[in-house]
Amino acid sequence: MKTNEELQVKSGIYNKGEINLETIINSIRENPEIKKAGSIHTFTGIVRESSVNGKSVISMKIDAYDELANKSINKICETLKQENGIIDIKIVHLKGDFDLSEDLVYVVAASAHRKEGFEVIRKAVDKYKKEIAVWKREDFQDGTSEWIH
Amino acid sequence: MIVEVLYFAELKEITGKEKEKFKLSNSNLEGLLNLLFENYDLKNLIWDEKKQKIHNLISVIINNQPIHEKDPLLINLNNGDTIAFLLPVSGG
Repeated sequence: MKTNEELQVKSGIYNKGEINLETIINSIRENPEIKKAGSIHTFTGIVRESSVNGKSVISMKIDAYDELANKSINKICETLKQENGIIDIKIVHLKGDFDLSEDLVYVVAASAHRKEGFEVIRKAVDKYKKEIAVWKREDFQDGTSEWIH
Repeated sequence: MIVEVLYFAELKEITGKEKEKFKLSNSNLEGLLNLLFENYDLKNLIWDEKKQKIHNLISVIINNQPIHEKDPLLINLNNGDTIAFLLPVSGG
């Protein structure tokens, strides 16, 4: 039987296949304050079949500067945990090579009420997209590829 | 003086490496940039020809700390430093 500490997932960068959404939700449920929560919210970012310019995407690569990205992710989570009604929040970004529809990123939050939970997920997504040292390369149907900035 | 450069995204693809050590004879960033530009096709990504400085979009990181100065002559390096040049991020 695993202890609470062993079940705790740290927010940050993980290799593809190293962690899944269920593990993160289970970790959130192990928070000693979880009885104060009325909802658990999740966001999963996945690989879309088209770029913002409408080009056909067939796969994606994610690269990360782990040390910097982990620092930024933890700062985002610590800031958002201070918000009213937020019991816990975790952000996990995967890196590696991905096919269409595969999971890229998870945000999981426990909140006292659903309104704060939806809102904190939106804030977390907006922040990680701008603030963490992660880069994505879209590989297109026509054989070209492009790092997105 | 030996420093190490970490490569990410395009820079990793262009150099074909995740990281690389360089022996430098001077203690500012200019010497390192000259070596990088001699060895790899990185100048267009990193260097702003008009301003003769590191491009505003590039974040210079030394030992995991961001450096806000863009003039390489004003950025000092020390033996054992780890340097990275980061393009704008794009989380998934």
